[in-house]
Amino acid sequence: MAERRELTFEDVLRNAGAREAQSRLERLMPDPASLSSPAPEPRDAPGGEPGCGSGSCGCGSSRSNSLFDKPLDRRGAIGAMMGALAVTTQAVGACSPASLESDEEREAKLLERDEYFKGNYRLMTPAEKAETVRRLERLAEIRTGVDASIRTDEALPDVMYGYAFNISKCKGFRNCVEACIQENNLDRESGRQYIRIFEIEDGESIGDLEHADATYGHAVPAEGHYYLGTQCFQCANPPCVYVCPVQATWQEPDGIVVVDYDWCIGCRYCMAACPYWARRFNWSEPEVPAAEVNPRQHYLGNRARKQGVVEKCTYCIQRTREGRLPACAEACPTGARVFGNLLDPDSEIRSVLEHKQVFRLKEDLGTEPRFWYFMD
Amino acid sequence: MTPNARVLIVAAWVLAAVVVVAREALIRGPAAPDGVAEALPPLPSLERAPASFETEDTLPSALKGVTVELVEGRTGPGDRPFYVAVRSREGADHLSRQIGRSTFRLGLRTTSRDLSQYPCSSCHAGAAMIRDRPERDAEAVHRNIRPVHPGETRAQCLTCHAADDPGRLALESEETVSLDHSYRLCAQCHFPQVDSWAAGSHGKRLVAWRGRRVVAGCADCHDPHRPATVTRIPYPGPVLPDPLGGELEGGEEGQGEVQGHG
Repeated sequence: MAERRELTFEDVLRNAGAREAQSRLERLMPDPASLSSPAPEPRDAPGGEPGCGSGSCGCGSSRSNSLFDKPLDRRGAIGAMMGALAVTTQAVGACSPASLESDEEREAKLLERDEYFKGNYRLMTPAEKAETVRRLERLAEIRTGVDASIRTDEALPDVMYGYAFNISKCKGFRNCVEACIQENNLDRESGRQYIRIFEIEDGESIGDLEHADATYGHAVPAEGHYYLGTQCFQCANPPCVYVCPVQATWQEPDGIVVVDYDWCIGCRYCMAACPYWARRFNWSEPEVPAAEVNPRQHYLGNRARKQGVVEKCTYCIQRTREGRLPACAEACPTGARVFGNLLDPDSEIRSVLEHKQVFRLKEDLGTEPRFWYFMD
Repeated sequence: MTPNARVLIVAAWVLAAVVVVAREALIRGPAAPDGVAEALPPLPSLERAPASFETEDTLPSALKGVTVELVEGRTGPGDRPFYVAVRSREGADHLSRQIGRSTFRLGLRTTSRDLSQYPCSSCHAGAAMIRDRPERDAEAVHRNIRPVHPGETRAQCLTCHAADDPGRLALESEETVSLDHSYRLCAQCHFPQVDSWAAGSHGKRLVAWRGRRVVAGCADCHDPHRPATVTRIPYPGPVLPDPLGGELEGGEEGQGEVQGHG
């Protein structure tokens, strides 16, 4: 119905939700008169704009109209400029005729703008965390129709997670791999997997994982082989954290190494630094069918990732901080996976460490993984 | 676009820098004037329950409806008592769990039927039925059972089953227990395994890593009549590019993982 026409400045203002920007600015700068920058001269609001007066377009709502009912004063001009900024920094997709945009589309753009300007997760106040969660949940609803619930649970006090893997028990069924995919909303398109299960011949060294087979597809357990699983070990001395140039990855008080997906710049230093090949890079936008998305999410865990950022196993932070087992440990049909609190002397993981022969991978590197292997 | 608008847009970029700096200052807190912080309107609460985990006295909510029983005579790590999930009521199966949007079967057994549901009594009604039956009958009827427990023959039913009631297990002490308490029977010979089971390094804890410890019983994973692990095709593995063969395919996650184990 609408033919393309040149984008007018008024369109830009409407698209960008200039009023929100204005009120936000007023809060930030209580005395704009003290600003030295010259304000544009006041001007009257234009009358009926072609293509905008129709009720279907939705942009003529009262909230943006009120801006144009009065002359732009200095404060209004600041807001208007913020709006212009938002559009220029955002996709030029805003250049489509304003009348074609739905309310939801406009809302999503506003949310994305605010997401773009948010800070590092660790610097956020609780209020700001709540705000970004609200934005992300709404964006997920608009973009994918998923009613996600994103939590920001802090680490539990007096908890340090540890993991033990029984190489006598693992039979290589990969139930853990599948559960991980389902739980953590891993990209189906590229076949993303956090967990690797290696099939190793009896008597072969575990120090030679480069030549072990992780892609086997035959019936398991295979005669004369044992199985060893790797994932992120949540090292106590994590090289991946030290090399991050922007502090987008860090260790939480409960030992989980996490990534702020909105702060990661995708340089992949951490992948080069990790001696255990635990990190994964999103070469493309991860795709999960809406019907398969796990809606129980954590900001630092299984929420939607973007293209060009690094992700990794978080011991299912969204589950473990609620007291539940990680998905891999829960789904394991052989009981090869033991998970628990290292600081609790009565925990099963401590029992394993005290009574079984345990080892860790590449212990000589001093990375101090919190992931042990043991045998019956 | 009018020249006026162009000036506005340029000015907007300058302002953006100011805004970002001001916002950062606000985030940092102490640097911001108190008056500014107070001027911010209160944000709506998330109206969400705080993170909850089960306390010692409560059962993981995912196990509601599952019957658990205290394991007598053995205690877990730290001499704490623990519980074994013995029987499921309707709709509460402790051996299948939903992860993400998929349901996973826990335990190695291929059958999902509860041991307590095995209808031994439909044939073995009354006392001493096993004793009175000729051996060849047992072979004919229990063709599917290939016992490997003591004796290697089907005549050894009474090694484990109570003669008077095959639905119960006979311990060496001549006490009989229900099929749900197979761990008491197994422990008579497999005591190292049952000790490890009590300590947590053997077997499977269900649902939660903290709170009341509920574990799977012996027969949840081990079919007593067919203890060997059944082989099956695993879930699909990763698609890794071949570091030596030809070009790497675009869009694959694996490019960075070639060094890993390609």
